[in-house]
Amino acid sequence: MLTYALRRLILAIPTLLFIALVIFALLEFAPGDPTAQIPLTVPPEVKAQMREALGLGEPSHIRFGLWLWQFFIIEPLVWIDHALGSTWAEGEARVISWQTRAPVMDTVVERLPQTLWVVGMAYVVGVLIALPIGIYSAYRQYSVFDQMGTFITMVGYSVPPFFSGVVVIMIFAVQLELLPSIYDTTHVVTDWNSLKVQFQQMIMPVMVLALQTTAMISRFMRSAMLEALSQDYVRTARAKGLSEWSVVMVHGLRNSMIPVVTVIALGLPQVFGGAIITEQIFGVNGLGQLLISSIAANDLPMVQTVTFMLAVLIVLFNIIADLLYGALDPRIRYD
Amino acid sequence: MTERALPPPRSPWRDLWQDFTRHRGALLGAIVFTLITLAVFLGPFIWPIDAGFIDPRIRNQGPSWAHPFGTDQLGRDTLARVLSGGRISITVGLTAMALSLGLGTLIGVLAGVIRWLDGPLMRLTDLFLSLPLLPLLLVMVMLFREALSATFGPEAGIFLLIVAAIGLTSWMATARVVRAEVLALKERDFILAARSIGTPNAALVTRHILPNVLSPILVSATLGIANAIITESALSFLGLGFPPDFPTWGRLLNDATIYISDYPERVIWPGVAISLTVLSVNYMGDGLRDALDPRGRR
Repeated sequence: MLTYALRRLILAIPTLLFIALVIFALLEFAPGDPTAQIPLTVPPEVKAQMREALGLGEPSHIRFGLWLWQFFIIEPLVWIDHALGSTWAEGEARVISWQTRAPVMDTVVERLPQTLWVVGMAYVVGVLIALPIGIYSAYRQYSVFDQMGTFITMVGYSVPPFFSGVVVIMIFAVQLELLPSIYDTTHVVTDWNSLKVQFQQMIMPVMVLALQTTAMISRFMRSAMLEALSQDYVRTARAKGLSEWSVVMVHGLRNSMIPVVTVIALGLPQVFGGAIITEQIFGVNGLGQLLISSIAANDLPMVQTVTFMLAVLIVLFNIIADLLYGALDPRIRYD
Repeated sequence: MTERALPPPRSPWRDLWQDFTRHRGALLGAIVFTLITLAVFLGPFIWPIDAGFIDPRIRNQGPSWAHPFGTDQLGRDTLARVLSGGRISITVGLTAMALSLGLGTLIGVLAGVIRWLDGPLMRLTDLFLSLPLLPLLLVMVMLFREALSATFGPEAGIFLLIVAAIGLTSWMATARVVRAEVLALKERDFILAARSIGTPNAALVTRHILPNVLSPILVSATLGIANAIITESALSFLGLGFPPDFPTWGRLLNDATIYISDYPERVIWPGVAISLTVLSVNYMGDGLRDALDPRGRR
């Protein structure tokens, strides 16, 4: 198991390098010049100096290597310095945003908590709602509950977040005036009252993201549970006179959770993609919003770094899903 | 000795059609999708108002007989705009689906038939699967929009860009399914028989393998349409899709959200159009999958 985990982690390195190369190449070979917006009255030698300052003077492969070096060596060193108070990264050049002229990672670290709060919360809520729905739908297949559940999850699966988000704003913020339509990220929780405000402003983004998660996972849960409940060991368990609860929740659920857990792990990066849109609708200034605004401002180092971090997330959760599969199903051996 | 009449041979397509129509949701989905497609493409003949016609005298009107969906802030007819937006959205969906299917089938068949290509092509598929797609699409649109608009004109340029971007980033699932089917098919006796009479590889693929992998391709086709329509709308919604003069459903939704506190009903039309189309396509896919599942065959 450990050797398998190590092998997967080592194999992830070429994958990540390839992804970094794809992202870099896309930005590099795209038509359009980052200094094209500069007015024509600026003399060419000043323009050349500006390109130099942006780090554009070097040939592509050197800049790619430099970015790799900065992202993989310098940035972790900065973190270590923060944690231990050492000075290894002092004076080293970090990945600098063209927009703010500050290190990209500082901005990312600023924005990350908002995204993690909203996305993480939505995912937990979504999974907690999805599992019981899926289990009960499978247990009472073709019942009214199952038919309704299947229909509602299908709708939730089909309605894109940019529509469901706008609809909940329309209902809860415009018509009922219950919840704020814009997420206030400067809000600080100090007492019960401010906690309530924080809770209220999180309801809508979490609801929109959780709808998608619920729809996706409860569909998987239902079909996995149906598969498990038709197995012989379930009939044996019933024949032994076990209670329905332990037949379904112990014999059925434990076996059907194996594929569902992997789907849960694999779905998380996808939710980050959905968060880009949700953050845009509700004005949460998280990673997704950062990505959109830096795309609009042509801030290539920022775009490159944030996109790559999302890719790291996907690769990481792929590995986690694979390892979970082995841990949950004793029949799978990785030796 | 009398000759017993054999029952007529059952065509697999008839079987498929019967199973498909037995699935009520799938049938309803197919009907709704056909209706939406027809309405959108025949729209200009039924509803003659031009989508771009500006009439400042009738700005911001609610639904009426002259304008069943109301009018927008410039006095343009919302029904006409939804219809013409759907024309672009559905065309993008179908074209991008065709591109991703073609690419996915090509890669899947190549990987399944030619042994030494299997490893590299499947690694490539895995690599593509771990790319963050929505951010990459946004970046692609941002970088190539102006260059393509300048070469092919604003509408055709963006159309090409979005179709190519969606097609190039969504072929992986098809490739995997097709490869698995081809690998299973290769072990079957009829392939061996075809090979033994000297069928060349190309004919083997087109005559024997492709017709037999058609069913998983059909299922991924429906998923592909839904995915392409949602992706295009998401891009347009984020302002990185079609320019404002070409109202796609996502763009209309984006335009309407600005006026949400004054005219909330304007958001509904494009949103419902997207959701209904995707829902009907998903139901079709569900029904097809059930109909094609050999375990459900009676």
